[in-house]
Amino acid sequence: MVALSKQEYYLFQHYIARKCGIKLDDTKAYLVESRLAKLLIDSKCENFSELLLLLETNSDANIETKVIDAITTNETYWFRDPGSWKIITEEWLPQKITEIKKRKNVKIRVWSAAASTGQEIYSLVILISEYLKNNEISDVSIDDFEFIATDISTHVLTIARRGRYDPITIMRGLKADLRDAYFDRERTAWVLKEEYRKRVRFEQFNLQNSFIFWGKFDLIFCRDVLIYFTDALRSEVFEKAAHVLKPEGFLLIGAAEIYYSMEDYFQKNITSYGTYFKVKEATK
Amino acid sequence: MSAENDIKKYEVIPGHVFVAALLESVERMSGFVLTEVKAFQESEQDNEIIGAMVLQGVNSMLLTLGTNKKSAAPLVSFMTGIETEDLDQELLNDGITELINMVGGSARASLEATNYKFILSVPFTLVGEGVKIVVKKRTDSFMAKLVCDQLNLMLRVYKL
Amino acid sequence: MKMLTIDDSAVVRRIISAAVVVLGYECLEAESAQDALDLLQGPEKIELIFLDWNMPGMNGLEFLKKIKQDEQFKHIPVVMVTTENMPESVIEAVKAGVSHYITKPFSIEELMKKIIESLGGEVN
Repeated sequence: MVALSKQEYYLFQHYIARKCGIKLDDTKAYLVESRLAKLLIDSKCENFSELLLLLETNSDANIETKVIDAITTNETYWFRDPGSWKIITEEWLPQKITEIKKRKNVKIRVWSAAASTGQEIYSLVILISEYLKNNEISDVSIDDFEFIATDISTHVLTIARRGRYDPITIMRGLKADLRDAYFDRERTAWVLKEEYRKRVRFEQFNLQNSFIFWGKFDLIFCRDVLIYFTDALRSEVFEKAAHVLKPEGFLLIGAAEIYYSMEDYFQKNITSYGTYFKVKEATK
Repeated sequence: MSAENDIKKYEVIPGHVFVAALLESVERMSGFVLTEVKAFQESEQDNEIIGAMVLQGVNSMLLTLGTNKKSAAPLVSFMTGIETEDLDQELLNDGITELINMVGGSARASLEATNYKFILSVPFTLVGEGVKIVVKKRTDSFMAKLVCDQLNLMLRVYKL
Repeated sequence: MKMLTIDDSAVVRRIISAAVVVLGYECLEAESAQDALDLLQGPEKIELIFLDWNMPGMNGLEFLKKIKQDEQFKHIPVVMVTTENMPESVIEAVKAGVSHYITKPFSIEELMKKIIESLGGEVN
């Protein structure tokens, strides 16, 4: 791999911080190196300076997208972090179902803020559908829920919208019976059935921007993306999220993530399966 | 780029480079995102599979990745698309060996312009209940525990 | 269309085979360069080869040079799949006749993209 010089890394750090709010500290230098090294081979650049030049001069229309995709694209799988799904099944969903029964015509709104290739939001759609079916709840349906999923990378969103997964990706965390019930086989790929796929609105969105446009949510997933942000952006995201989360809404972050600045806006709720956050009284 | 004064000099084993290489390798190949556990007991885990590789250079090292079947199975399952019930011991060993190979390969590039530059040897695996590698205490070593859901991996680098 | 993956790791061979099959092709496996040479001499017509570099016995580069000198096989495109990520290695492999290069570790998506590229197709 071509060595990434200190100056080159510094320039990339600034470029990425500006474009995505992502903070690449020294420990991330090696990750950036390996992610961008592949891009070097593919874009036929001899070294990182050449790549930086391409970015500056915008000579390749796609290069900016490719760099952002390379840095931000993370692998994911179905029903990641079992604790979160337990919290949803045991705490959140029962509450929301009660709410729906009380006040019709109000949708329960969910936002997956780092949607990646769609597994997180589709896992939720499947979970809710299964819950309603298994508990024989007939006066509430999946139509009472609205699903929004965003990501900074357009590339992963294209994959997410298609809902089409290869045999290896489909089996990562998804049991065969659920796969057979919710997906159609298309030769060797598995495609999420249209009736579920159409329920999710996927949009490109940079978390540095204002959240107001999205309205208010009953559930926000913001998992494993905050770790990459500068402290400043992170605080900003917490503040913005607190303003778009309904009073009884839940915020779920990654199981291993701990941020003290959250306490300014959120109330921690620790359960035996994991932690979820609700908006603090003062912020409402 | 490789003039003497351009060589980065580490005082101790640059363990974080190997951790980054492992995080990247595991995520790319399986989807699992490992997190480093900061405080842990060394004797916490009984290994059943240890992937290893000798890294030869001025500062030679032994790179090892220790885990058990309970962790190796979902890892290799997600890598290959084979359900855990259908995985045999050979595939588990092979998966761990290949991972250590990738970690070595990634780290090698990152350490090329440093005093910890090395070349790789053939990767190998040690298998057995409670298998351990014991290296003389005096030597400089690095250890990191990495977890995700039910996965538990112990990365160790020993100066040889 | 039949493809061939050459790697001493069963796990890597499995991943490559799975990706090839997803794209609608068949994939044969060889765990060494020698086994691959034997396979090539056989009745199967191979149209694309995935090649590991570091293998016991004949390594990938040696195998590559050998088949590029053989009238029967030199036309077969070769994709290098390896941990070797130094620019000198990439250059050496390209000089020896490799048509595409993918470094380990790789995601399934990356692998499939490379396969499609190797077949001259556009990634959609």
